[in-house]
Amino acid sequence: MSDWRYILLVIVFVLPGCSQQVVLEQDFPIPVMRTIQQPITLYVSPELRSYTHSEKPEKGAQWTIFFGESNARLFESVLRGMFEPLTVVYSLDDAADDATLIRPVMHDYQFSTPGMSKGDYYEVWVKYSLQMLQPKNKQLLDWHFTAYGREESSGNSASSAMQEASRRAMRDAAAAIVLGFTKQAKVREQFGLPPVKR
Amino acid sequence: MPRILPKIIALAVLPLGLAACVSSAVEQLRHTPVGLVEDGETIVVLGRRQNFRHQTERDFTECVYNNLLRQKLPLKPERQFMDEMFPWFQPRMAPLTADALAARLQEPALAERLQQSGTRYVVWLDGITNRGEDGGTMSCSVGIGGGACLGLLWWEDDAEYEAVIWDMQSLKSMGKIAVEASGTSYVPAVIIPIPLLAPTQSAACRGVAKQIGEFLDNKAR
Repeated sequence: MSDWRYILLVIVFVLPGCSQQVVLEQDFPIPVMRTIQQPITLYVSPELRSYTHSEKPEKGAQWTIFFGESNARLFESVLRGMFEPLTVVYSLDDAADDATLIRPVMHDYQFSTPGMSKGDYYEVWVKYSLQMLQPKNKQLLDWHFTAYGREESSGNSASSAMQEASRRAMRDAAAAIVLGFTKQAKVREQFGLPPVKR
Repeated sequence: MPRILPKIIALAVLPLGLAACVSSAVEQLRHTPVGLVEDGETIVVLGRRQNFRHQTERDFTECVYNNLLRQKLPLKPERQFMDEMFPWFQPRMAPLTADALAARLQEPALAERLQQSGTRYVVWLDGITNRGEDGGTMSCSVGIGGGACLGLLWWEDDAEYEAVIWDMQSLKSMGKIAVEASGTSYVPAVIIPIPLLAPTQSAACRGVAKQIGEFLDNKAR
């Protein structure tokens, strides 16, 4: 066998084991719900748009997860279903002075692979918060929540299983917002909603 | 032709004539008569993902879906339904009982979307195939002239699944199907390992799909 064939073998079998890259390019449906007729502005910060998670577990490959625009798409879809009208801005300077601003923040991303957990699943946990500001320099609320997603390892490549687990975690985040955000007392007060029945 | 070659071919062909056995039992609990699927109505098959320890395998859900397609039932893909009803059937929010579904559909926007979507029946699948006992030994060696294995491995697979069918019009559960299947797989090896796999999950899938077909009748087929 020539030297070139050995090099090709190394490229095919060894290098993919060194790193795994996942690019999240999901779109999210607009939630089915009664829309609150209150204007809000979604502020998508540069940190949220460029969030990338890089980690090398003790056992296994180096992982890099690129969120790209998927976080912006998630929050825009969810809030478009919840409030009307919705304005999206990418700089605080573009927001009106009297606007009620919602600023999503991604605090943490954690994952587990079958190699790490000795289980059958790729699992993902994402910690977000929704900050509500009005005016734009006064924070009224910082509501934290965690979302979870998992995907079975069998029948999937490692990167596609991680991508699916991440997609499910982000859809779970949407569910968490729909369930929990408008139950926050500050949100109800801000938008003149009646108190939640206990 | 080397003398060993016919033996190797015979060993390779052997699995075609042999198959590990599976035993299965199906139980059906019916609350209502056969459900008719009218023109424009669809059925959706969903895998339960709420269980902390397991989630219903995608293979199993797809197998049941494909079996029902062969029975000419009008099916809607899981992902399409999840998007149409987003996020109310996500694991965090999906109703666990027909009563919880009825309560959820008090939300007018959701009830309206459900009606527009034409989804008449929801089949929830829950369960998993677990690896049971295993044993045996096998040793393989590789030399300059080739490689060979000798020994026997075996393991048991236990499948337990449940299907619950909801009528989205009456908002009632139509009934429940429970299936248990178990099978032992073997891998004997004399030079070449020959897997004799027990199709435990497939047997459970066929059992569930056949019973679902008895619950639901497509008027158009």
